[in-house]
Amino acid sequence: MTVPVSAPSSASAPVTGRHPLFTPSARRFAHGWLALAVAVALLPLALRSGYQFTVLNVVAVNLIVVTGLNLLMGYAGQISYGHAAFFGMGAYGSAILSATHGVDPWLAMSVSASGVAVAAAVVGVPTLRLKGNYLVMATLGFNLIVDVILVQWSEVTGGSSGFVGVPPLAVAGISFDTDRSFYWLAWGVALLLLIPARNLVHSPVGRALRAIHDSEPGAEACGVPTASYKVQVFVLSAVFASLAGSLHAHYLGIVAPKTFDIFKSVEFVTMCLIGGMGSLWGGLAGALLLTVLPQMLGVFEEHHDLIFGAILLFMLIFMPRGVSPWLREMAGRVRRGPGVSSDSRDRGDGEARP
Amino acid sequence: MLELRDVSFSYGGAKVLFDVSLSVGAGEAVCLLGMNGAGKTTLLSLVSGLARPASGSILLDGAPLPPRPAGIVAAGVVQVPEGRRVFTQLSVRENLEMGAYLRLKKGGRAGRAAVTDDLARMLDLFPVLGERIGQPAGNLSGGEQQMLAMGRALMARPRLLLLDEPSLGLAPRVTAAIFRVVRDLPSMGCSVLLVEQNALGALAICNRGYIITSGQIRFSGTSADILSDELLREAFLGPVNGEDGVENGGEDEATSGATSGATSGATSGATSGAASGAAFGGAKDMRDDPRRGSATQEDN
Repeated sequence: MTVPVSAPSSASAPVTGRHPLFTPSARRFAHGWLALAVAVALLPLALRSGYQFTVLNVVAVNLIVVTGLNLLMGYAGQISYGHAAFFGMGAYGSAILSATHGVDPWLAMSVSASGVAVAAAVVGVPTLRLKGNYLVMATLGFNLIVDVILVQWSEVTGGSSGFVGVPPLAVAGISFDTDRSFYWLAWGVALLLLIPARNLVHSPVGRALRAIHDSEPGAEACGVPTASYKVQVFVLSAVFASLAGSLHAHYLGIVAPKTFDIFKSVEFVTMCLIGGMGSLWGGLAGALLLTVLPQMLGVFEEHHDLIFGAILLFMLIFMPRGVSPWLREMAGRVRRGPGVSSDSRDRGDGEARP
Repeated sequence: MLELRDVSFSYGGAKVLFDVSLSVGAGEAVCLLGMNGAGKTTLLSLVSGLARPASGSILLDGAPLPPRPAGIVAAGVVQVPEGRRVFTQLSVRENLEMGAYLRLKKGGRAGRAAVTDDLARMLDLFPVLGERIGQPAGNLSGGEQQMLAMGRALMARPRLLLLDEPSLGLAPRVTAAIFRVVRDLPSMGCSVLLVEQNALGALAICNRGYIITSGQIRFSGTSADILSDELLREAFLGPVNGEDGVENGGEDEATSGATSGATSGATSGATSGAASGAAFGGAKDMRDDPRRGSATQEDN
């Protein structure tokens, strides 16, 4: 280390700060995004039944929640087991505003999202000071509270039997009230929301979030206002969940508290984990797998929570970083030949490791 | 430049700093020496804004310190946290760029160009980082991580660098390399406040030193003063002429740990440099500072 080595060429490359839309990684994302859009556009040609549309619509709604949750969990490293509550608040907010008070569904959707943003900030400021297990407990507790309110406040929410008669969303006289028409809306929104999520992740702020994930004291030492960033990303991801909830409510026309209990939160977290935290495409994989698989396997229906729990455990033990990093690692291992772990590293010398 | 006046602090009911006064001038390297639990890290966290003093004042260039850590970083006071705290999932390059976070956020083409220049300078200062520029920082060895943590802090263009035990857990050779860089910082326009247990190494590269025990400054003076003071040498820097465990009356009972913990090898080479044995190293696992906990180092 005493021999001065001239800086390698990569060091002279310009520092970040280029607009996130004009980098090689942005081009890769654009290609992936276009491929997904084309697939979404062509898929209806192959689909026969309305049921298949229903499943894909649920995938899209879940994808929106998971994209938001990924920003919080995968990038900023803050775990939330309370996102079903925000999902539910969006759904009930939309339902109550549009059905009970006759507000336009679009307006109901945005008012609900704003309300959820405020609620998330109120919840986030104290809870995000907690770390790890305590944050899990706090968000879980929040979800339980919201769940109880949805069930008990029956004159407004319809109680445990649910709230019926939510009007569908409509644009210029075209109503998104069928499986087929809603498919375009849900996937359109999901695809659109991927873009700001991606740009956030690749902005300096996104890097600061990843830095918070790795070491909060370190990020603080760099001048990152960690507390306020954590709350902001929490609010953003709650708004994603709220929008998804509103879509869900206007699509089905009925909302029931069972859909927004803590098990739903576990489901969202599992989708995030399965796909691979810190990968937006991984979120797509997770939402797709865990929405479609249960529909295909009959046993899933009955032992739903059990199987989700089992998957969660399995993932945490064997693929803690999720399917997509695991696949990448496996692919690397196959390419390099067996026995070479992808993270075999040559350690520096002259080092007493404590 | 930096001045602490009668600063006190307590964790809950336990008072850990008692009316501490300390100053660091421009172009100075000052070390704060003491054992584990003496309050060294706590004092640094007050300066970096992670905690607020219960009483007393901290002045930066005569004005009160900005209230938030980000404001303090923006004002040019940057900490290299204990235990490195590099971003293990981010690449070495991204780690360094994170150091310039506030500068990049302020933006501007000129600002980014300056950051690019600084990045190249850091790689000159720490050539090993250049060899690993694209690797995740978690792949680096402890010594490399320490260099990265320092490089990251320097990327903020600090006027005052706060270093918290940079030699912790490192081989003497690596410590020496790091201390060489610290020694040169004042001439590059960056004052240094160095917290160390490796007293001899720290005094060799600093102009002045403070000795803190049980939350109180017991002695301050030039490095030469401290090194030449017989009592201090015996109490804090290790036994003279290789006598082990020499104790000194009149000093705080905490000093006995330091004395007996000191290695007898750290006697004559007082000025010879950084690589001398860790004088306060004896009490390494008696950490009772609550901020430390398991913070010492993650083994990646």
